[in-house]
Amino acid sequence: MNAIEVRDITCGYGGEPVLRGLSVDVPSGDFLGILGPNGSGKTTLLRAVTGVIGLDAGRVLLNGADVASLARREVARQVACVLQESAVSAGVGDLAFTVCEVVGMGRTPYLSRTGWETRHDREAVDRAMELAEVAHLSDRPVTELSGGERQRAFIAMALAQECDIILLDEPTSHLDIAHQMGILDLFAGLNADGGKTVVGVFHDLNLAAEYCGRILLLKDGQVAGLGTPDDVLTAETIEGIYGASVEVGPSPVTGRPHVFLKKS
Amino acid sequence: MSARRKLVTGVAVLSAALTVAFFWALVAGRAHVPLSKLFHPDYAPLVTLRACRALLGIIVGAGLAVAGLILQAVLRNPLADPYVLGVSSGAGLGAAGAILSGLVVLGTWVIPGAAFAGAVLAILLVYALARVGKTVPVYTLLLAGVIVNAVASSLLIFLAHTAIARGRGLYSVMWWLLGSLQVLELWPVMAAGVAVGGGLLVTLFFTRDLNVLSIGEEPAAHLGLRVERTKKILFLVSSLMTGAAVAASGLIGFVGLIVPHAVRLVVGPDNRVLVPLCALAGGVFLVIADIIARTILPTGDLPIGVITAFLGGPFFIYLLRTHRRGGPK
Repeated sequence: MNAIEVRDITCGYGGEPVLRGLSVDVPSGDFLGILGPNGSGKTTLLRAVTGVIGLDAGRVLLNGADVASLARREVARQVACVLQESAVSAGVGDLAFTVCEVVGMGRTPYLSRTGWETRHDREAVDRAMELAEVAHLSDRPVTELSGGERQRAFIAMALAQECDIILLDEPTSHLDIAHQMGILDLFAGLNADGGKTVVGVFHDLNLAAEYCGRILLLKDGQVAGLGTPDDVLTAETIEGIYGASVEVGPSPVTGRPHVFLKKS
Repeated sequence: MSARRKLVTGVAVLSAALTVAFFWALVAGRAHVPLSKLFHPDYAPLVTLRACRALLGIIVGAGLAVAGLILQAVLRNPLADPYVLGVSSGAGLGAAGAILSGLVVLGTWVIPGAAFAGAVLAILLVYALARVGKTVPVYTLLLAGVIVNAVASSLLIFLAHTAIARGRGLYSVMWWLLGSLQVLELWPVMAAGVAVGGGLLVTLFFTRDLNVLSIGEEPAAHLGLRVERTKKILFLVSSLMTGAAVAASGLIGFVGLIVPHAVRLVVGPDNRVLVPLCALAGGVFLVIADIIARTILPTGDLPIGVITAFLGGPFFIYLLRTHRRGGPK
């Protein structure tokens, strides 16, 4: 069963297509990394999957159902999205929401306009905060947290959506190496033990190689490669796509491919 | 304290405050009405007049405070107030035009009618200027608001200049611009009440959406919100409430900026709590400000805008110093 099926989609902003006839299947339980140079359409692909951006052609199926035919709330019950930490603001001015309040917003797709959270909602929020390891920060305003802690709070918000599919848009950019590993370990665990389908956009090739089961390479809005990190992350492909000269060798720890820069 | 507890406590405290303020407004004035004679027939005309005036204060205060709250959340800008998108200058231009053109002789409906029409035209213009395809980006909207405000202000100054040259009408225009809760007839109060009450009712269905929008449009969309549609409804509601409030009372400043911030400082940023509490607090604030405005000078009323800023400013600073939570330190 495919969690996500992207069928020949073309879409973009203001008439200029960013993705051109792109197709990809993501089986349920996959951990797929999306790589590609700036402007290659990585984030646009995530937006197309959640239906936040409309399609000029083609269609996207979520667990077999066409995204365009689903209500926005229904999509948000199936797919959660973790954005870059800087893409989420903390509230109006410097009066920030607390971690608990932000995570509670993850329940939005389940709540009626005037209803308050039920016990089930509060339990989902507590579970999400435990998983993302922010339970101890529950009553702290998000502006008081470090970048890494704040991103974990936003991750907890996405987990509170209780979706089978989790999309990541460069979730660890600007974070230190320990937070990068901690956050990706969390998603690796959710993928391996929780059966969640994870699709993430990455800038760091080595991070993607280390954590992803499969890699999708994009260039100019089209698929430039799809397969295991070993198959896809070769020196020729990377040079061809990014135009940077590199060498690729196995990591001494995991044996997965790692990219080394060839300075001129 | 849970959000629900905050809401219940806040509504209880502010309702009590509103009741006290309302009765204070009935007895206070240059002619004092003893509390024991409040329902005495001799005092009936005066008490009725003061009751209408207090009612208008509650309506206008609630409307401006909630409109400011909505715009601060949707524009994600703490400096936003109900007048930032051009409603005020449009209304000002409409009212000044009605006064200076002599159309006022047609009836008391002319000034509020012209002010409301000006407000509607201004907001439509701002919206049209800011629209990009099917979306309305908030920064473009803010810029369009600033520009329409600037152009309308220059036209207003031009009108005022001609009034000086002709030696009449300037005082009426000034008085209107400064704002007043003076009630000459009941219907503007009722019209404003219907608009603000309706707007408030709609807003109560959007309090969670306001929360989600205030963390950003992209995350809001991923949480299942129909962002553009929601923004459109909220802009419309805040503009209508502002337009109605301004048409009935002129440009009373500071309420729509300061009341949301003050309430937020005390109860936090959750709009499910903020919307009802801002409505009540705006009413309390304006009724008290009006009592002071009409009793502080022995000679006559002071424009209420003078009091809202003079009292509101220091009170806000006090809250800021004592209740601040979070934020960069």
